[in-house]
Amino acid sequence: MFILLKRVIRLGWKNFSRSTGLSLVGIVVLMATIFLTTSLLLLQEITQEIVKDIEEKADISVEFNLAAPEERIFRVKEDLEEEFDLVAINYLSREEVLEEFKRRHRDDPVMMEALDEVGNPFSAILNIKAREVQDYREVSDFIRRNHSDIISDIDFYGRKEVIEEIFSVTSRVQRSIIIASIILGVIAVLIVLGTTKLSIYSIGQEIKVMRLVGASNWYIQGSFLTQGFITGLIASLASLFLLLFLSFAIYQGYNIFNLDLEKHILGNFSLILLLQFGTGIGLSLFASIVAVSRYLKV
Amino acid sequence: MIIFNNVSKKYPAQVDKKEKTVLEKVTFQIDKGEFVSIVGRSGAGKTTLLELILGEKRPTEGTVLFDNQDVSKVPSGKLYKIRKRIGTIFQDYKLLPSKTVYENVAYALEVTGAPEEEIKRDVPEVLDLVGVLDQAHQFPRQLSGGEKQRVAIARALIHQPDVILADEPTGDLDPYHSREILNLLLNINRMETTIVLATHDKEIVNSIGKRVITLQNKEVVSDIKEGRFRL
Repeated sequence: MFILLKRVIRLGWKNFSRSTGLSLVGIVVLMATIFLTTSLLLLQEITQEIVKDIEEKADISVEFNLAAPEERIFRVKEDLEEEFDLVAINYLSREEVLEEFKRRHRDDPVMMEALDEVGNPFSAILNIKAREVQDYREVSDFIRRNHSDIISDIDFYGRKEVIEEIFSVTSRVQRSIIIASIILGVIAVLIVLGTTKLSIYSIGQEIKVMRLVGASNWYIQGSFLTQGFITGLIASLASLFLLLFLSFAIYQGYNIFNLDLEKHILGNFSLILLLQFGTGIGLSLFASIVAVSRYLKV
Repeated sequence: MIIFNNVSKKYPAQVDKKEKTVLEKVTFQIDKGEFVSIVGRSGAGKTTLLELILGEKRPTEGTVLFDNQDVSKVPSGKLYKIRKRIGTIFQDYKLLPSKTVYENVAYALEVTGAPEEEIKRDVPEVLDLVGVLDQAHQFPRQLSGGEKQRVAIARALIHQPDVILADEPTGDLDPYHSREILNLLLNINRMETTIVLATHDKEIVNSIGKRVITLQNKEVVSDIKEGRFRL
């Protein structure tokens, strides 16, 4: 059995190397398909991290009228604590906001001078941190509904729009990648199928002899499936090296959104391997099986 | 060993072609160790008859038994087990041009999973037996027709088959080489290997003096133990 397996693999390699040109085209298209499939996974990971990062930074700042009495502000705080499951709610009085401003601009004499003339222009603020980003709308509506008379501004919509925009862009990119992957996958399958078909035709005489001398169907078919397996394996390995090269050598230089690509790739390495080899070998083997069942008469 | 029982083979009608009957109710039996010549004009169905034994084609009616096994009922995935017990020789030799004589014969053992030691031991022996050991490292294009057919016989013999099916093995050879090949087949037959020779070569058939089955108009018209070519 082992001898036969060894010979089937050897014959498969021979079939592969006999049609190097077409095999290479198949490998390149498979590589592109694998690369896109893997990028889908990475894109999802990266989107989640960006959104998580934005969500962590998200909060609501409620600015009160200058005339709003402190006891009313505390009532707003208490109402919110009763009504919602908040992570944090911090009150900054007008004086504390002023102090904070002064601290930040202490090296700016023009600003300090202007402040001395104006007095304290700042409102008291409630900083609210909700558990989920979608809770902010309810918190905001609640404040507007019940305490609109003392509110000057509620700042949260900007962040929500950013998050929604990220989801929208990501979803569009994902859809495009899925469509491109499917198209490339179909092309890859057709190329591998064509390569296997050509191999079958080019060694038609040899196949006939194999049958005559008693080679099993498994042996004859196995060599072509091996050819497909080799194509898929090489495409998967090449795609993996390309991914590692691009991630570590090029993208490391551009630190967009503080993304750690290395972490994402290494953290999901087994899944990436499975995806890469599954897509590459799976598609290629599928194409070989179709070619063998359609064109190989045993 | 081989039994044809009321075997008919018809090819279904196709566009511009009517249904074609190649064999009609053919019945005969070939026993182990026999040398049988199947004779008939070109298109008489000799090759189809051999293909039915190999399971390459299935009979439209009747049964073909090989060692009590109905070949037509053997699933295609299991046919190789029968083919391993049959050596086949063709008029056009069917040697692989990119392989040497040694490799052509060794290939028959390789694809059936024989160990390397067995291949190294048996191939030179069989090449010696058919008289082409000296050409072991030559390619088919460097050989004469007779030598090519010897290599084909060596390849057919390498499995030590129970039966050798020879389809017009002397068709492309001159009388001298034809005689050589026939003698080789007769020698192999003396070693108890059944030989089924399909031919329309009158001289060859008449010189053998063994059983002759004659096919004419799709049917067996004669089956004579020490027969001659009569058409």
